[in-house]
Amino acid sequence: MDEVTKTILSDVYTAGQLIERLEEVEEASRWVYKGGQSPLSEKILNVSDPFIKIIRQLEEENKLPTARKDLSGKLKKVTKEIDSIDPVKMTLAFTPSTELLKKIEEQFLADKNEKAILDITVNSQIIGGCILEYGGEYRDYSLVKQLEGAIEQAVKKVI
Amino acid sequence: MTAVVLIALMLNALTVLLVLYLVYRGDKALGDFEPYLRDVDNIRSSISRRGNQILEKTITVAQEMIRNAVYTSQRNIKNSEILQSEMEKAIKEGVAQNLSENKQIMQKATQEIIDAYQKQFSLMSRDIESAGVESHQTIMEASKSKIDELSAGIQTELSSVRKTAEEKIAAELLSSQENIRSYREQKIKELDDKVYQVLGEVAKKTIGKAIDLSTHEELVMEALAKAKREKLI
Repeated sequence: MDEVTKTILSDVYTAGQLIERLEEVEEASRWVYKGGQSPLSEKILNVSDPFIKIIRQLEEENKLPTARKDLSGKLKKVTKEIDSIDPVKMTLAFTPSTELLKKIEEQFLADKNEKAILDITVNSQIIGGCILEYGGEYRDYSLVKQLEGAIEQAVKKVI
Repeated sequence: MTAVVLIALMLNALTVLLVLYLVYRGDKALGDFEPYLRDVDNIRSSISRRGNQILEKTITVAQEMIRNAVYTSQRNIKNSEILQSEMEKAIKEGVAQNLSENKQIMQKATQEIIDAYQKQFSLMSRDIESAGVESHQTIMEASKSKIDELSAGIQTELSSVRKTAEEKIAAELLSSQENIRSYREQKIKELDDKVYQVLGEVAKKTIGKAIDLSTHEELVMEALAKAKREKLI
């Protein structure tokens, strides 16, 4: 994944946030040729402050091309990469905090140069733990699954 | 003029003289016929008498004839009565005889008619029997043909009915299966809810306390670590 894309998605953890960020990138693309020669971070409107902050950071670090055509191409590449991200479907028994989301992402990013986007579903019936769906695989690490297994074993013993 | 008058007077005188002459001649003629007239009267009287005699004779004869006629009539009436009686008797006898004969004739004729009819009926019966056998055969063949035709029709109809019934049953079965599936899913969901509820209660009791946020996060991180070990992430 491109460094610029990773930076743009640095504060994005969930699928909902990813969609909003994608719309902001597309809005930024529309502002490349509008508003004169000013930097993108200064002329862009209708986007969130964190996104403007990220764009400004990228401009200061000279990670965004100054030429409009190059900038437009860069943003198109970012859009394409965001579109290709496959979210990790995760079922939790509670609503996770941003801190926990960061920790989870770190787990995903530990060995990979990829951005993990979590498609979180809250279901208290799993009691605890989580259920993961990613890359065509399914794993149930929920507490209820463990309890079912324990009960099944207990029942087998009784029978 | 005078001459004419004289002539006329003379002619008148002549006419009168002529008439007088004629009267004279007439009286004379009548005198000539007087004897004859008397003869005529005599003859007339004679004829009258003769007529009366004839009339009397005639009346006498007529009376005699009437008497004879009455007598004859009475005799005839009597004879007629006798004859009537005899004729009645004869007629009765004749009628009786005729009746007897007629009866015999009728009986004979009837018997003959019956015999003829019996004979005819016998012939007809044979004919009818023969025709009946043929008709029976024809009817049987026609019936068989009709039954075959009806059987084919019924077979087709039954096939159609069976097809319709099968379609309807299939539709009903599909609907029933759908209803059962829906009902089963609903019941499974209800059961799952119950199970999860029970499991939650069990978890609380087995774990001994409600799971707090930090425990949740620990469980999630443990799960992710396990996923990493299993090469899922």
